[in-house]
Amino acid sequence: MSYTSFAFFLFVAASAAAYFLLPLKIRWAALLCASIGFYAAADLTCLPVLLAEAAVSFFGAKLIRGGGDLPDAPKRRKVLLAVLIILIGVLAAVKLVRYIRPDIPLIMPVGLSYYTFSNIGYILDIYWKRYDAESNPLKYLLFVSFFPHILQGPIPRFDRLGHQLFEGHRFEYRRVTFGIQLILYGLFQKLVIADRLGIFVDAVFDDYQSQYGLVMLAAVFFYAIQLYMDFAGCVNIARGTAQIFGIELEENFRQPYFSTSVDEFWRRWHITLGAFFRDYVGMPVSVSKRVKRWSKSVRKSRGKEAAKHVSSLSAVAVVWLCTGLWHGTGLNYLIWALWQGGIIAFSIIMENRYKAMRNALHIRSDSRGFHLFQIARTFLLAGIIPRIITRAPSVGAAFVIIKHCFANSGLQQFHLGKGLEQYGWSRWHLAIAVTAMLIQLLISILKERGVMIRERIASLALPLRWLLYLMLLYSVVLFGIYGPGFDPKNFVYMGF
Amino acid sequence: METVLQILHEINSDIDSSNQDDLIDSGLLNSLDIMGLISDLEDAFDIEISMEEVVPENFNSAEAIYALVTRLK
Repeated sequence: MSYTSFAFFLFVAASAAAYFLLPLKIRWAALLCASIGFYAAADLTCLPVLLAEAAVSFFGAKLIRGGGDLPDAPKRRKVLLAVLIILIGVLAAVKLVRYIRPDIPLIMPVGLSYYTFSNIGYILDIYWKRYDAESNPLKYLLFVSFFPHILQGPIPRFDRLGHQLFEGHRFEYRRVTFGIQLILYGLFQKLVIADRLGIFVDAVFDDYQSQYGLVMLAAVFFYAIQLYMDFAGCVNIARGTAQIFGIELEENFRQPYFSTSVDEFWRRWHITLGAFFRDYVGMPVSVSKRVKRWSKSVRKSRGKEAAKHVSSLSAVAVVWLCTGLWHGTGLNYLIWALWQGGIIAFSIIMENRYKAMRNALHIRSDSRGFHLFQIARTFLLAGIIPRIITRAPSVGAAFVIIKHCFANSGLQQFHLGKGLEQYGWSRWHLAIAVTAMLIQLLISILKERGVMIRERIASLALPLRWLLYLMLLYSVVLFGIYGPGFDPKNFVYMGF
Repeated sequence: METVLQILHEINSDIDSSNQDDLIDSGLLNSLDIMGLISDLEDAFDIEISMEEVVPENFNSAEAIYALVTRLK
């Protein structure tokens, strides 16, 4: 059941009705039934995988935590390792088999990455004594399977989400309307912007050998926007749905294309994935005994600055290896990870030299011009080039696409009497896409300046407020892209 | 305490570390800063900071960092 299907919204309405009709204390049970029902409807054959992983993590955490006193350290470590091997093993096996033997009809369980990460975060937090283990297996199952976040995140943390799920929330008009607004906004991003741009992007990338110049550049630019709108739209639908039930899921995007460095970009894009790798992979690597030993020996031979680089660069290397492997097992994703991790590592090493260079050239780092330059540079390095590598059918094709971008104007395609129709578009499509992207840009600028847009809308007079809601609803209905049988395209990140 | 403030100043001289109590929560220190901070604290105070201690509450202010260092010494 896709988040953009009519069936999904009927399902949310029915779940909300059941939730608010039940007594406060057992409202979480309605969420659990809805979540299991949602997953079974999406992927019945893979339901046992979800249940088994939740059981392994739940009982593993109980063993690590022990009944009274903590078990001894070696036993806790053994249990942790066993649980991690099972969880990571299943994910790695599915991804590897899909890459090595694509002919084997192996089903990738929907949301496998997301609930695996939820389980891993939980078991590590229990091991590091960050909070107590959950005692109710059904409540734990709800945390892992909560239906708004199971398909594409955001990746939840038990200490932030658990209590919200288990305590009953009363019906609150303002919160429900805020949730519906967020869902509509997510639909606007997905159906009006992402799927519309996707038509043009697919047409150009599928025929990249014959496409040049402005057409190729437009496709590359539109793909960066498409991917962002597709993923952010899905997360907004998920967060809006959770809000209806009184549950706040974490923010997953914070205007990433306004970032001033690649490192910052990854703290604004897919925030919960970056935070997961930072807290559960990068940080343990940087404070591990092995890295500390290495750092100490470097300090003796190369000094303090180099020693500090050892811990941060080790973390960056492992995090980007894991991030690359998670996104895909092909060569494209390996190069993509090397590119992103390499730039971050390079900027760490060069940080002091950059500062010296800026001072020597009298460049004020707080000037408006320099800020805009940093944004444009980051958009190119994190938003454009790596996307070409992963969107192209092969690494070789990615180089061809980059070359074609600057080969000639590309406008000869239009001289043959063919218009935008050759890309599945019309002038109407172009006008809607540009207008919708400008609206999105305006919203992003306002959010970047700290304007609380939804609060502002909520403070408007009732007729004006409802006029805005209706305009948003009609724009989704009239300008959204719907395939045959009104079945919109799947979300791009669902494949992970 | 002076050493903690000095280390924080070296990591980011733009932050008034003595008056901040949300160094992590507000994002003033990012993950790479924290890794550098841990490395510096371990060297300056000859302590070992384990993953159990790497939580925002222990790094949100100079006082919290000093309390952590004192506890581990």
